[in-house]
Amino acid sequence: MKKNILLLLIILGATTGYPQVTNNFESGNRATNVNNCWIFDNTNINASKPIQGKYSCQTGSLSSGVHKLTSPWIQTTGSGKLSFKHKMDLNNGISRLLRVFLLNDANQVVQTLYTYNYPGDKRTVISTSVDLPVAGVFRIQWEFTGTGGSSRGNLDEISIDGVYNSDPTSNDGKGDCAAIITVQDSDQDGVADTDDQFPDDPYKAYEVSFPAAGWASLAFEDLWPETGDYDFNDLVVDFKIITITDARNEIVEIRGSFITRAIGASFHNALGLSLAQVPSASVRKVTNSFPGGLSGNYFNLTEQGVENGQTYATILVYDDAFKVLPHPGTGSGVNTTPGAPYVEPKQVDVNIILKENGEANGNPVPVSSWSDNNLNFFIVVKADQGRGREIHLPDFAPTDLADRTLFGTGKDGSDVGRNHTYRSVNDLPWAINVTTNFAYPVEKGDIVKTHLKFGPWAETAGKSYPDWFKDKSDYRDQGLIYRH
Amino acid sequence: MKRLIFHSAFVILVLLASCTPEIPVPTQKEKSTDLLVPSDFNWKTTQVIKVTVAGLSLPADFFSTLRIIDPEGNVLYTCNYNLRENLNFNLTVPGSVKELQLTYGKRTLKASIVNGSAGFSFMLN
Repeated sequence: MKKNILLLLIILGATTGYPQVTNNFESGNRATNVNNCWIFDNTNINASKPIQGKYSCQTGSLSSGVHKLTSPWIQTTGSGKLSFKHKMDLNNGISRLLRVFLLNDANQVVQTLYTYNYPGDKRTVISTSVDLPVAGVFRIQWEFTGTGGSSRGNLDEISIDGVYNSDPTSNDGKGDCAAIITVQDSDQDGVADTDDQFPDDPYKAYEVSFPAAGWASLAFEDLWPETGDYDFNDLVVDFKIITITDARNEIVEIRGSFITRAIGASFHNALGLSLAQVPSASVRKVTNSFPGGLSGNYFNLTEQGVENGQTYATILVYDDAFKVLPHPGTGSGVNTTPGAPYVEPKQVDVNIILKENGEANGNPVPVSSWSDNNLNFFIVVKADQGRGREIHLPDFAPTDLADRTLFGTGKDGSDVGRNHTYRSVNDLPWAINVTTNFAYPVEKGDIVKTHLKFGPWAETAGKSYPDWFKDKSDYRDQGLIYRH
Repeated sequence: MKRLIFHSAFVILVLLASCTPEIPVPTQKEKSTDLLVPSDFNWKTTQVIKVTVAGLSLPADFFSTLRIIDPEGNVLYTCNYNLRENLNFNLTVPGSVKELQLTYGKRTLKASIVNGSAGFSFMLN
């Protein structure tokens, strides 16, 4: 089924009952009109001797040349009217002629709608109304010509029965635009099939991935509030977040994919995601491709699949990293000790549904208010022994179930009141988020000795080496990068 | 004497003008705990860009798909946009991205990221 996806505002005419395209030139700005696909050819907008209001469209001196104004494309019904007012600014000149044409998409004259030879006092305002007897998509063109004298033509109060049908994005810079074309929109959601990533689903239109290509990584140190060896491999998780939106630009689903690649620790840590500013009650359903990962005693989920007792929607990916990346039996940790057996990482997919069949619980989440600041990743350390010991990325908020008595203990330098969290007393983090697949250090390989530009990046507050994690010359001690 | 003072001042001015502020390169540290990190550093490998899109004062609504694309062609943001509206949103992009591209209908616009902002306008003139 076809539908014109470019929704056009219908301005109902007060007297005719037709939608109308109007122009009284009171913007005083030719550029504004050109942007709206009006073409000025030896004409301009002028405050000199206007017909009505402060401004009219005015030609140059009509002693020579052709002076035109052309309207945007307008869809006519075949029974509407064209009305406008016109005059000369001065009473001089041998001859003055106004002709009004209906133009087709080849710029050919379909019909001459009106002709006027200015007799006597040319300054008299003429109010004109003519029929638009043809249905279709046309432009209206006013053409002034003359001989002798210096008087100029004025045009104002244009009203055309019809629907605006120009595509401003095709503007050639002089107001010449293409007419709007009808395109396929199978699910009739207002997004053309060519743009719609779900062309047969009226409740979904777009998806955007973070990162835009490939995978990003989270890397944790898990001794908070004490500091550890800074090898950032106690838990290494690749992730990708796909946000699906509808034609109203509201978030329908958030699809998270997580691949746990390394556990350089012995603690049984859980992985979670809290959606900042998204109330728990807004989530209609959560699905997890690894249900066996949520069998711990310390996590209490609602029927919808979010964690109970949380203001903001909090989702557990798994409650124990070793369930998705089992210890191979030898070596310290999993996939952090060179030479130890390699365990193939397993992907866990979590689907968070915020709208179903167009319905949201409470206020929908607009995509314009969404950024990765809303993705509050965290681990729960020793989740087999309790729920409270959370570690987040720096400056992200603890969840409602975090044990806040731990802040300010050990080496923690957080100031929760001013959102200065999960930083050591000398501002080191316990977690980092890298926008690409992180080449993490081997066990005990301090990150500053492994990624040689990490230190300069941190000490310059990110100004130097924002790409410290890339595999560039002199960026890494390759011997300290874990490989299998 | 006046000439000497004038020349000295000129030389000093030239020397000062030739100085460009450079970020001091920190020395390589042996361990992370030796790092001297500014307390306002956010530890992000991304940057949050404030994107503004200035629409047109059209006589009718005009909807089409707006995309923000990075220099490598990756789509960072997509929405169904009414050209009559102005749009403001925050966009997370890798820290190394310096320029963004907007596609909408038949238009393609580019904007540099300056002070954490990127502005696009559909106005032609």
